[in-house]
Amino acid sequence: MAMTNEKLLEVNDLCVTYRIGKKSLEAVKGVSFHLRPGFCLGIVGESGSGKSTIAASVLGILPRELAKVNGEVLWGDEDLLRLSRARLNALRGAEISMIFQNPSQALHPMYTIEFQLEQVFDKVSSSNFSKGTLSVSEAMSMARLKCSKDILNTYPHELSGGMKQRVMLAMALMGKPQLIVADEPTSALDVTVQLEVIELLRSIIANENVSLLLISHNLGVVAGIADEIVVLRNGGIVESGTAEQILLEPQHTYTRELVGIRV
Amino acid sequence: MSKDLLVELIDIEKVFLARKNFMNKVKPQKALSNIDLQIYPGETLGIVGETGSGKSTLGKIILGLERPTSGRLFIQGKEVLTSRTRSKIGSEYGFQMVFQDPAGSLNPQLRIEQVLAEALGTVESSPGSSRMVRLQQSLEEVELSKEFLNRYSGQMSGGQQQRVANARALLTKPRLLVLDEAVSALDAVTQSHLLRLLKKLQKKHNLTYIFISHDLEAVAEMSDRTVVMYQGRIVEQGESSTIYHRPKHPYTRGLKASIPIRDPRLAKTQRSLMRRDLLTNEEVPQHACPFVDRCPISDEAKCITATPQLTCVPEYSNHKVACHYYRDFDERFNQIGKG
Repeated sequence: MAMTNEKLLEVNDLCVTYRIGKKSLEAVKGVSFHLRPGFCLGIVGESGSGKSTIAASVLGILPRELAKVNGEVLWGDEDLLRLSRARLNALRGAEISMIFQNPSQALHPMYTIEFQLEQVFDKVSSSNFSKGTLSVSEAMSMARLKCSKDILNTYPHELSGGMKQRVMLAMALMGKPQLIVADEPTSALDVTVQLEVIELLRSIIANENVSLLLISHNLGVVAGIADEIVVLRNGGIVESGTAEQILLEPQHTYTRELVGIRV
Repeated sequence: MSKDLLVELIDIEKVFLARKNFMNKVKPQKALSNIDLQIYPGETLGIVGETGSGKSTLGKIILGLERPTSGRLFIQGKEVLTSRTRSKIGSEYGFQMVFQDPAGSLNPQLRIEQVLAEALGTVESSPGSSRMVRLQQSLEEVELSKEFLNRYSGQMSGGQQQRVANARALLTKPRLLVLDEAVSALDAVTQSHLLRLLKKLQKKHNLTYIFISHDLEAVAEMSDRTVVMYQGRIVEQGESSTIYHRPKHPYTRGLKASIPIRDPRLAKTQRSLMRRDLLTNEEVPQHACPFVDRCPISDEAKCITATPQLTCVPEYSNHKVACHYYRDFDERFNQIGKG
């Protein structure tokens, strides 16, 4: 990993306000950070701190009717907040992809794993001629799944949580994205499987030159992957720095409180 | 059966009938096999295992909520598995359960007062005024103010809801509480508060706890003895400190090695002990060790052909492990690592 100041993703003064009936709720209040290529940035905070809202706005999947988004999210020379729907659609999966918390909800219960993997393959290969894509079997082996009938021909409910999350990862990797946004990718998994997924993500960042935006409330998970950490509270950044700075020498009282708690 | 035992399970087996899809034939799924377990009054027994290990099913069988396919269940030396007695375990012997999801176990349409009064009504009928006092006391015990009696569960935080669930269980003056992932849905700070409270209540009321969790650290901290389950079998059991500090079974070792580390320098090199070939979805053969496909030290000869039985570990008292090769773990693990 070369130390560069190059920025893959740059978020400047991001504000998100949700409209709930007649009231409005400021979920993210002027957040700025950037992510360097080949690195992992962890965003930590309690529930309600705005972590997932940030992830969703990076991908442009917040419903525009419900959320007012201000600021800028720079991806190369494009601002993701001001892209057309068509361009965003082409970008997702091919340049930026996402892994969600609950793999059982993210996979369609009525289609086989093979069908769903192929659907993703068709989508990314149509928007990605220049860069090329991984085949289904390549993506599966990268997610450490055996490309055999006993996985391909099953429905999601027949697989364990860890396997489903690996299927999600295979889908995310298929378009050879430069950035993966992972929102609590391990919190639905058992600790043993959690560690296996952490190892997997670590090796993918190292070997495939993918960057990771990792969102988690579990400092142990973030400690295992992230190079840099942003601590979020009530929609604002409390503290940010390298993983060592945040976890070993936290400056802010809130961060200290977070770090002091048993995992 | 020994008299000082509170609960004894002998060779309990539970089979669920499941269909792979709705066209297929019904396929038996073993949730528990060969469970022998003793529970002593006043102790905390921890049960640890991952999703699908059968730990909740075991808790429900002890409470009579689930009927085992075969095996015998004794409570204070009396056999209670006939269908007539089984349904009365809760009220007759004072066994109660607290579930994982506090929001799901409280009726959202009832005020907390009504929720608690319902539980009180099942054990006694007391006049209105003393009833109110009882309800207030029960909230005090779980460190909630009496104002909460007028709230609905939706107006409370997860930690407060879980306290109400505990208060409700305690109102029936139970002797044994099954805590099924009772703190897992809460954040770390609330968790440690609630665990402390549970310990205090145990002392005060001389309760027996069965503490079920996927979190080895929390189980070791809470309980006197720990049982480790994998795929419906007990793979290791013994004193909690021995299980936590000197685990013998490869699965328990793997669980311990997977506990997240906060120090980024150590966390970056943390490795799973489980086997690292490509994952498949094939079923483990029936007579194999259930852990064979993930075990770092399993071999084709013994582990595939014979399910290991729980055997005593001579170095520690009351410590049992079900593994053919637990004695040679380090040697075999290093060998495989090199090869």
